[in-house]
Amino acid sequence: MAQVILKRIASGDKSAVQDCLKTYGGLIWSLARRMSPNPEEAEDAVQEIFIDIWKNAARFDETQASETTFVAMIARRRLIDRLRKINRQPNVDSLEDVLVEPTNDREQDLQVCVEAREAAAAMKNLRPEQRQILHLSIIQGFSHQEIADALKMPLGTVKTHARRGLIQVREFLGLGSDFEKEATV
Amino acid sequence: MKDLQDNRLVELLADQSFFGLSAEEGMELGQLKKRFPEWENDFSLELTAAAIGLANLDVREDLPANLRAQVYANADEFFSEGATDQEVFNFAPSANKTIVSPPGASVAETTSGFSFWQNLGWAFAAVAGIALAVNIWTTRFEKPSEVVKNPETIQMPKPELTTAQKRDELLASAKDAVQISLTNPKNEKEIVGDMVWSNEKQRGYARFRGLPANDAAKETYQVWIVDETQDSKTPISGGVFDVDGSGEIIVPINAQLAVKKPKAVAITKEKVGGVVVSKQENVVAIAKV
Repeated sequence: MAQVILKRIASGDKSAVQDCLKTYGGLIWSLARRMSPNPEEAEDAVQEIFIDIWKNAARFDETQASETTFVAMIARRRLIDRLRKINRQPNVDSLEDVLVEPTNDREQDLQVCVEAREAAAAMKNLRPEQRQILHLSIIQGFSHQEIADALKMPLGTVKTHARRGLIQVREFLGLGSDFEKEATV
Repeated sequence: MKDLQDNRLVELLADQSFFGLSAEEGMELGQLKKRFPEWENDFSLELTAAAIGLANLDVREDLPANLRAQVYANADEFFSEGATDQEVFNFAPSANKTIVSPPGASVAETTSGFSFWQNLGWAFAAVAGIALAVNIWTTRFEKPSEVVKNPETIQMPKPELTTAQKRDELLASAKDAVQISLTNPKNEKEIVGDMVWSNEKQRGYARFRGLPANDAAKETYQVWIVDETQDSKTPISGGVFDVDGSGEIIVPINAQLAVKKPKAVAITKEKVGGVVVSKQENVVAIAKV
């Protein structure tokens, strides 16, 4: 049933709203809490995310990704937009302070979809600096400039590591078409 | 030339996936997509970033009941726009949103302007009450037979709780909830507040009495949770808050990462917006779990 929720929403089936909340409510709430400065912001963000989902449901293409990943993409867009408005400027002491590898002791239990599990596996195959930058950027929500400051690394280098790492994970997941993979960054 | 533009386009798409684009970059991406229409509907990098973001995401906690009700109300409004024969039903959920949403909530920004009739509807529904509103809405989403078979879908809405009530509710409902005293780090006998935390629900509240007001334009208070599974130099941020008076204040804890084995809590003063890693130069309260 999970894979047809967005199609039902796109066709105006209101009953799909309940299934959508039941299936993705916890996921969106978790993403919002992770990427919001406080619970009130997270609650506002969740409301906006669901409206974005209703609006974009018709754009879901099951040949590109799972519905879960598509919903997470919509959520990230909104959360990133809100983070940019906050314009947070962290105070990072040293490279050592941010060289924290995520703990994955419950990794297998926590993956919410196949692509998440594959992305976690792909991350392990990246170079350490790529993995660290992707973790800081995507999971912890830091901007490239913030990461560059934290790692005392040129901004261009951070961006290059991030892009190459992201493209490598994308290829591992089998997302994107051949002409994109040929592009060099 | 084409390769350069192609590379720039991928560069912008990647940047967009990480932390969004500035207005100028967004315009540049739009222009490049017009030039290379084959990229118009390519979301592969954003989808990849989303998949990475889902890795190890802890989704055990469901949406709070009041937030769920708001989302339902928003959905009803969204799906009913332009449907004149359903306007009467729109009053209820719209009113619900009005009551529980803070003024100027961003959701309002994402919807089109509200009409006189919608505003009138809010007023009627406010009188009718939240309970009736959500009940009406819920039944609209269920076939009659399903309503009878599945009574959990017609739950009475929970009234919006104050932060203090939410704290009490957590303390009463979470079996693993712990309550610890927050003390002055310079004098551990001086209790400045307490903290309630549930690992299972990943929620908690810090309560303070007499915490000095801070100048919100220059500094903020920030909560830190020291977790055994994290490097001790990088405790988990529990969010920032400001104090504008000398009375009791209760602050919801918003842990940025999953808290697994909390062993201590610290409250620091930091610059506006909070910091990623605290120098812990100005610790105002501590607690051991």
